[in-house]
Amino acid sequence: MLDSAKKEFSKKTRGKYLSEISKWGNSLMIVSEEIKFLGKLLSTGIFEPNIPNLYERLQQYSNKLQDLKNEEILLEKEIEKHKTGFAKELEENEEQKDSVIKRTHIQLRKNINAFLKNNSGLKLEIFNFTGNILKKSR
Amino acid sequence: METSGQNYKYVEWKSAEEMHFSSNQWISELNFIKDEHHFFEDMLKEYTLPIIESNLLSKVKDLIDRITKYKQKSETLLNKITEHRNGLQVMVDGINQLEEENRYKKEHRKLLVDVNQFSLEYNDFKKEIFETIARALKQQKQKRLLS
Repeated sequence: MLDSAKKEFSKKTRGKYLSEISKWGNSLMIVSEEIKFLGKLLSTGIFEPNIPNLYERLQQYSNKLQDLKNEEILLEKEIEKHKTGFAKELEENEEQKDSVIKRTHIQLRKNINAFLKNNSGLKLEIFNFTGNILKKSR
Repeated sequence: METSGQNYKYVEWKSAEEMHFSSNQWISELNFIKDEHHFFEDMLKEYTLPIIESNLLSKVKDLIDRITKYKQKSETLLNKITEHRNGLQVMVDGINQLEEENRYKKEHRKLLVDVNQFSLEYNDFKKEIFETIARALKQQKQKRLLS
């Protein structure tokens, strides 16, 4: 590949990655708000009494939400670190840096996609469980 | 879901595979939003007593109306994306059809903008739902503690 073509490729890839990073940041911010909301929902005692194992189930979901929150914080840190890698790109060997950035980016993408999938799964579980046991107005 | 910070030019760089991946991702997310709508609607309609007691009834009525609108919007978007995804053949059939391929990319770009816009509005809307329900829950909790 010619040097100019290589540079062009690198520029495009980086632009694409930066766009993806920005998208991840937004997604994590939304997830963080959802976790907060679901946490409140689970802790406010708005469910029908006499549901078997209600307390245990709510506690279980709260723990899972906390785990998710911890994971979200870690991912946020990883994204920040990855962003710093981009900022430093001009200070080091361009080609070598490209492959490090690419490897990190692809791994981070996998981690974030897995995290978002877990988050959707848990949200759906909570929706299904709590949706059926909400204290009805009488 | 892809959000507003997206660069327009990004679509130019997406391969057919990436466009297919994005379309599938949008479809999966919009399908998930259907479940969310169902939950929010149930919650706002069924959990009415605390809402009435919190003087949030008119706000909740407005939210329920808007859920209905978002349901329609997401359904329309879902249909458009499904149709778009099914038309990917033009990009991968090995035949050089520059005009059709450009049209496909243009359509993808338009959908990207639509999805981003929808996502942005919908996320703000969700925040409103969270805040409203959280207010009702808080007041119920306070009431319970005082009783």
